[in-house]
Parts: sequence; C-alpha cells; structure tokens
Amino acid sequence: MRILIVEDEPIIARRIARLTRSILDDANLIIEAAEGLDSAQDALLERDIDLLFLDLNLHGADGFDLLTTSVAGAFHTIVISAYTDRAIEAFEFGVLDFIGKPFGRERLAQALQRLHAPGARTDPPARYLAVRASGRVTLIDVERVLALQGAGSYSELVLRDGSTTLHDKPLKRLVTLLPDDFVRIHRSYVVRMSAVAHFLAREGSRYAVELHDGTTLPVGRTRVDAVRERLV
Amino acid sequence: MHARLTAFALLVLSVGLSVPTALGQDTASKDIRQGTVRFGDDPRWADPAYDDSTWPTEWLYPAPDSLGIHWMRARITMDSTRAPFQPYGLKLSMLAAAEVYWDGVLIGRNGRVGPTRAQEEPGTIRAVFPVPDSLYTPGEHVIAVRLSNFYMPPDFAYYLYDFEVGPYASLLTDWTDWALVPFLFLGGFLIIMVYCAVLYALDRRSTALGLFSLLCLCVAALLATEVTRAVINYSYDWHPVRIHVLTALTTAVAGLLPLFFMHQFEAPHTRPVMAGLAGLLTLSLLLPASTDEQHYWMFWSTLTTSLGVVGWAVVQQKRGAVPALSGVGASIGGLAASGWWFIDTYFFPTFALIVVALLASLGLQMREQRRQREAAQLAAARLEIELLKKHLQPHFLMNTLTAAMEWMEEQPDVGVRFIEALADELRLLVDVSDQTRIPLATELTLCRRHLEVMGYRQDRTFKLQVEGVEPEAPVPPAIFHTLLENALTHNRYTAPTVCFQLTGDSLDSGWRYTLRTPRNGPASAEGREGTGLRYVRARLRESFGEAGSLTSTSRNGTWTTIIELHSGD
Repeated sequence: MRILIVEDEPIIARRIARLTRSILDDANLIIEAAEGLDSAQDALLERDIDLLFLDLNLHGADGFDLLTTSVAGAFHTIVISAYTDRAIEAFEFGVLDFIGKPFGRERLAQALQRLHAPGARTDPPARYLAVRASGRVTLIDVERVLALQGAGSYSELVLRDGSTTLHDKPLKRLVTLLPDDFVRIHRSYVVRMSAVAHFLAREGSRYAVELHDGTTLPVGRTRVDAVRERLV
Repeated sequence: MHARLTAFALLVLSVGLSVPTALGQDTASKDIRQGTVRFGDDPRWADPAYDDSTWPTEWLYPAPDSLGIHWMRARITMDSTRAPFQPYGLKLSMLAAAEVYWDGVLIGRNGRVGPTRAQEEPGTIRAVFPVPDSLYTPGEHVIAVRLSNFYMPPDFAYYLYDFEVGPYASLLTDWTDWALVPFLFLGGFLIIMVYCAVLYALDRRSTALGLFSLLCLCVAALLATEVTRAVINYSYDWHPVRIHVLTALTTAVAGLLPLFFMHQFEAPHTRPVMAGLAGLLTLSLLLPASTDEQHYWMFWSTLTTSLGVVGWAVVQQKRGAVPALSGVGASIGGLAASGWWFIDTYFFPTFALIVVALLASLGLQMREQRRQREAAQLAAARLEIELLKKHLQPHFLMNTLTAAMEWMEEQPDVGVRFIEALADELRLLVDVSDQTRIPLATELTLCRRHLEVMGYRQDRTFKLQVEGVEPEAPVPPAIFHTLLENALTHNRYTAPTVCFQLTGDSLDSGWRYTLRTPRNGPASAEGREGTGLRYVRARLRESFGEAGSLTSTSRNGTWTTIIELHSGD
C-alpha cells in the first residue's frame, strides 16, 4: 500500500505518517510526503498510489481546484483541514473522509478503516464525480449517472443520455463514494437501482436487469439474491 | 426717529415675523413736522392768538443746539370726523423738560422747565399727554411747548425725536409694540451666547467659539441698549450715557466680528489685520459728526474687514465660509441701503443671518468631527478584531494545535514549552490589541513568542536579531509581529536556522526601523500588498497619522521593510 501526504507543515506531515504506520501495521506500507500538490504532481500521476492525505485550505482561491484535481485521481482522497466548516462540500466532491485539525489517532484510524471496510459508503455521498479528460478535469453530476462498468483499473460511467466517460478510479473505489442507490450487481457492473425497470431471469441461470431505457446489464450469480431483495 | 423705528419694524415684518401694531385706528396719528422755535421765555407765547410770524420759520427737525429755555409753536388741523369714545393725546419725545399748551391751555408737564440747570428738573425721554375732549375739536389748533434742556451736552444735535397727535392708547404703546421683535432677537442672541460659552468651556481650544459667545453678548447688549428707550422711560439726562454705552458696544462688536472670523477660518496675519481695523475704528470715532454717523463708519470698517476675511476663507474653501459670506454680504447690503439708520434697521436682522451662518458652519464642523471620530473608532475596533482574528483563524490555530498534539505525544517536554509559548503569545496579543502604542520591548517579546511558536510548528529555529533600538520607544501594536508572520506565511524556509534582523536608527524626531527577512517564497507573493501589509499601514495611520511611513523592497533574496515613526504629532 502506498500513501502520499501533501502537507506543508512538517510536524503535521510527520504526525500523519507516524499515526498511519501505527494504525495500518502493514509491512509493505510506503508513505511519501510532499509540501504541496504542485510538487506532488509526478507521484499523483502514477497509478499505484492508494490514498492521498491532502491538507487543504478550502478558504483559499484555488482550494477547490486542488480538490477536484485530486478526487479525479485513481486513489482515494482524505482531506485534512483546519477549515471544518467546508466538510460537507468536500464530501460532495467525492472525498473518502474529511478530518478536521487537530486530530488524534482514533479519528485517523476511523478514516483509514473506510479504505477497506466492505460496503462502506461515505456520508454524505458525492454529488459530483470529477473526471479527467484530455488534461482537463470536469465535474459530472451524479444524478446523470445510470450505471458504471469496470474497465480494467478504470471505470466507465454510463450517463442518462447514453454517453459514456472514463473515470480514473477503479469500480471498487468509486462505488464507496456514491449514494447507496448504486448497487454492485456484477463483478464489472454497478447500477442505479431506481433506474431498473425489470429483473430478467434467462436460460442457464443467467440473470440480468433491464433499465427504463431498455439497456440490459448482467447480474452476477452471487449477487442475484441481494439484487432481487433491493428490487422488491 | 419714529420713521426709523417703523422702517425697522417693517423690515422685521418682511423677514417673516409679525408684530401687533397700533396702526389702522379710526383716526391715524399725525406727525407734527413743521413749526417754529425760538430761544427765550415769555408766557404770552402760549397764547394761540399770539402772532409768531416774526419767528424764524424752520423745521422742527433738527432743532437748534442751544441750551436754555425755548418755545416751540406748531399748528395742526383736526378732521371733522372724530371717533366716538376715543381719547386723544399728544406725544412729545425730546431731550428736555417741557410744558405743553393746547390752544393756550396747559395740558401737561414733563419734568420741570427751569431758567437754570439747578432749577430745571429733567423730563423723561417720552411723554404722552391726554388732550381733553373739550379742546380736541375739528379745525386748526396751536400747540406751544415751553422747554429747557440744561442737562444736554452743548453739541448734541438732535433733541426732538417724536411730536405727534393721535389716539391716546396707540401713542402709549407704539414704542413698546415695536420693541417686541428686537427682544425676540435679544433672547435668541443670549441663548446662543450661553450655548457657545458652554461649548467653549467644554473645549478651551476652540477660541472661535469663545469669541463668538462674547460677540453674541456684545450684540445682545447693543440690542438691549438700543431698545431700552422703548421700554424704559428714563429721564433725558441719561441719554448721553446711553449713547456712550452704544458707542462702546459698537466698537466691541466691530472688533470682535472680524476677529471671530479670523479664528473661525484660521486666517493668517491676525495682528496686522486687527491693527488696521483698530485704526479705521479710531478714525471713525474721531470724525466730527453725530454718533450715528460715527457708528455708521465703524460698521463699514468692520464689515469690509470681515468681508475680506470671509472672502479669503471662501477662496481657501474653508468649511462654512460660504454661509458666512452670505451673512456678511447681507449686512453690507443692509448698511448700504440704510445708511446711518443701519443700527436701527438692518443691523440686528443681518447679524441674525451671520449667527445662522455661523451655527450652520459650526454644525458642519461638528458633524465632520463626529464623522472623523466615529471613523477612527471604527478603524480602531476593526484593527483590534483583525489582529485577534488572525490568531483565531483555523489556519493558524488548528495547525498550531495539531503540531502541539504531535509534540505532546512524541516529546511531552517540548510540547509543554510549545503550549507555554503559544499561551504567552495569545495573552500578549489580547493585551496589546486595543492599544494604539506599545513599548518596543513588548512588541519584541510578542515577536519572539511568535517565532518560538512557529519554530515548534516547523521544527526549525527562528531568530530575531535586534540592534540599535530603544526598548521604551512607542510603536503601534503588532506591526513587526505582522511583518514576521507575513514572511513566515509567504516563504518556505528550509534551513534549520532562519534569522530575521531588526535595526533601529535614531532620527531627529523619531526612529527608523529596518526589518530584513530572508526570501525564498513563490514569486507570486511579491508585488501585491497582502492583508498583513495593509494591517501594518492602517496601524501606522491610526497611531502616528502622517508621522508614520512604510516602504517595502525586495532585493538579493532579502525582503526589507523600512518603517519611520516621528514623534511630532
């Protein structure tokens, strides 16, 4: 596991690293630190970072720009900020957690737990998904998203107008940030349950859901019961 | 004289005040303006049948200047229409003792006419005698007056002021009716005098207010002296005294008016201007003329001098100069229009205009002062809040607390020192935030506490080297503190030890402080003036006004801020 800390206060960066190490107790843990997002660009573009601790002054002019750049990445972002009054907005942009300064070990542990807890969802969920396309980050309203399809270590967002767009995060990470209306129905599919019209049982124990717009998506065998339960 | 008083009354009416008058009775009063006067004494001269055709034919106004017993004879023709149940009378206002004969019948006495000063008993300045119904008949009547005037100074030009026949009641009251309006003015001037005196007592620096109070007092006294005649029927030998008092008060008013304007508008050259005015006033008093004429020239002197001062003030765009100019202008217009009668007619109403103009300009000045005071208070409050807020801001406070937590967990003894330094800094900030000047020593302690806190936060040593300063010298609170904070915010220091330098240089009238901070921050922080520098400038303005200055330059990796504080304020 590889974690990047972006924090310009050296003592606080030290604190995050020290506490994280003691919480995760992972022999393969690599923790890097940078003073600012600009100096961390190289590290951010690499695919193997799992988590970014981002110190963010959300009152600054470019605080949210930095935030959207960060949440568009493949990794999860946990914001650590002195400005706790902007926490809800940060969640709406799709952060995994928002830790207010000052913080102790317990609070950090609670945030790190979200990384691995199965079925964990952020509260409040994201309202926007930041998508990096041709070097630019654009925001997509979650309301426009019907379904997500896994595409290797990326996700493809299927929008209401039928168009699709790629998100840098893998499906597993992305679903953590979404409202619980989005349900994993297949190893490679997540669907908005309120968009489902029918549950289809086909020959050979193959199952699928048909959306209101006629699209059909396969349902994994292991997930049939759970999906049916949600549809009743 | 009555004509002048009437003119004043009419003028006052035109100003918008109304006064009950005795005009418009069934039969109007008749002024007796023509007659003849003769020096000497003969009881036969009372006889209406006496042939006075050999007497010098001349106007009763003005009467001859000679002292002794005189006789005046005049003829008057009565209308046939006499109002029923209406008593009639004859009014004589003159500076003499008198006996009045109507068709040879003695109808009244004012004082006692005597052949020598010792034997004369002075009459009052005004007497109204009832004319018996039996004598007041239609047709021509002869009025003879025997009089003596031994109590007058020999050169006094006028002694007959009023000689008329008319309804008895209106003859009694017309002077007092006229006095009503001047008394209204009198009351107003007195109230303004007291008001300005109280303001002056509360703030001794406003000499103009004190002068204006004195001016109002003199004008009120002048007005009182002027209208005394209407309400107090004093004996005529007091008349010259009253005239001297009028001259003294006119002189005082003439001197005070321009002096007040010079103080009010802070005009230069007070002494030469006042000396010139004194010369003009002396010349006026030395004129071989009547006192009325002397007063007239005194008013010209004072009003033209005032016009010069106020005109200068208008050119200089002094506050309240325009209303003052209109007041003085109106006075000059009144003076030109009324001539010698100025004091009886236009003087008081136009002086009232000057008072209104002054009150307006005082009001404007007070409003301006209040605005400035309020703005200063507001600015002070804002600066205090700004200073405290900087340290309550999450960015400073929460980062500091987080770092403190880290030290407490890792090296508790360092953590304790950290929190002590933070507590010291916050305590000092609260102490100094509501002050305008603090000793430099306190400021330096505040700076060092902040550097200590930031040192713990960044795990670095920040040093402040100070040389050439005087610990007790006053500085605005938290200015160097803010500049250091700025340097720490806008730079990313990487060296284990970072040194800031403060140098003091003693100037003739204050101190020059030079603060040098190393620079290695992003270039974008340069050039624009941040909230920190704005705070420092505002504090300098508040504490030192124009006597404080700040310049800030960046060269060769060093940011240099020079602050000069001068003591002359």
